[in-house]
Amino acid sequence: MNRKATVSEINAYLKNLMDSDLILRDIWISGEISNFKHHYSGHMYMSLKDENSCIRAVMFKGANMGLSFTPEDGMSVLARGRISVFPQGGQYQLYVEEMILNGEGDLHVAFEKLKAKLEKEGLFDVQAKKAIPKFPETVGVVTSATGAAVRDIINVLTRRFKAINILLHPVLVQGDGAAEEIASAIKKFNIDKCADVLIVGRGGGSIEDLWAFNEEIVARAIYESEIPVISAVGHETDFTISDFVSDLRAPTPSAAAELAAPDSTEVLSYLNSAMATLTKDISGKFSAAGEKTSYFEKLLSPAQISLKIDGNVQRLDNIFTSLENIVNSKFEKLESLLAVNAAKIDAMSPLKILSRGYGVVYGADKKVISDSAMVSVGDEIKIQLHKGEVECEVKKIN
Amino acid sequence: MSKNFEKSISELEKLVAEMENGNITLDESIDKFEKGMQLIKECKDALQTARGRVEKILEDGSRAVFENEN
Repeated sequence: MNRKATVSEINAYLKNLMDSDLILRDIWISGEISNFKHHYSGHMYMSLKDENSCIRAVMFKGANMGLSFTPEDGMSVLARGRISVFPQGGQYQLYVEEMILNGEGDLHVAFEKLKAKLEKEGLFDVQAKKAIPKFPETVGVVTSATGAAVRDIINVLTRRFKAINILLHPVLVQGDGAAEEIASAIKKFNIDKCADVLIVGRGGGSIEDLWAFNEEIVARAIYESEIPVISAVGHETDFTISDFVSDLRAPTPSAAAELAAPDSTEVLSYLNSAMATLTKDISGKFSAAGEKTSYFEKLLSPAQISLKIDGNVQRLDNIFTSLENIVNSKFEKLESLLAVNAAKIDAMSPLKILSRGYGVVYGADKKVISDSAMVSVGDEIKIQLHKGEVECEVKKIN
Repeated sequence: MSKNFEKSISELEKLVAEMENGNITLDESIDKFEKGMQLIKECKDALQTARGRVEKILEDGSRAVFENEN
């Protein structure tokens, strides 16, 4: 039976068919670029061809920004992506996700293999990443002693923070032995503990030029480094294994220096703002304290004090006056009492009695004699009279 | 750069926070203010006057002043 379908329906059917195919979903295609066109929208349109055949390809802006080269007609490339139908045109095409120059194919495979292996081992784990110190005393640099990279790094570091120390460990950054030199320089910094942060990298170049930074020995040295490592390999678009394993990836060597050193202008402005804050806080404290002080000052002003003193003096005066009154009246009473008693005492004086005719008898020893037993016959005694005295002899004792 | 630069800055940050926090006596404030000003002065001096060394490690492990070879 003949089936019938609209054009849209058959194209949609084909698209569905192709999209569900596991092989077409993600595939590497090798071929030569032809009819290359970089549209103003940013998308790239081209064909990939070999001796006998060709396939249309599109690489959207988002994907082609990561290209490490500028595609041209005639270039032999490896392109990875999915093959699907563009229904409006009724054509199938390769939607390119990434594309590399054909010679790089083996390297690319090696890269992906190592990347997968190290990732599985946890070398790229975020938890393993160390913080970059804010104020490193010394920045260690592992790169070539010649070339733009080291110059850029030193320029940017010293421009940002004049006081920073820079210690370069010169290494080969490409060719035989480069990876070993880079790894051993990182280790040496760690043994000597002579840097607070490391910048490991080089300037731009081809994927082969950058390859040392894709070697396992470098990746492991970075991972094992106790000093935080900033990777700075090539340009913004270059990604190496070192970038994945480092504590911080900088897009370029200059950018790495920006990340490694604080900006002294910013630090100065922080210091100034800290000074302003401290001054503001302390003067606030002082004016608060000043308010309290002036309150107490008012309480303690001389006028207030003399007022208090005057008041107290008056009270004292009053107290004195009443004390005086009390004392005076007591004295008066005592005086009259004394006068009365003095009269009484006077009346009782023995001299007064003598005047009434009494006498006092003394013995020879001048003792007053009040008992006849105190004397014997013949004793001489004296009698004191009111006026004068008489001497007598005891004649008889009754 | 002074070895203690980072320490000084973090000490300063702590002082400023404590001052801003407010719950301290006038005496403590004065102490902190003086200490803070001292730290600021030291840091500014370090920033403005200190010059770092630019050296390279030679093959025998010793160091030499690095002159840009470009």
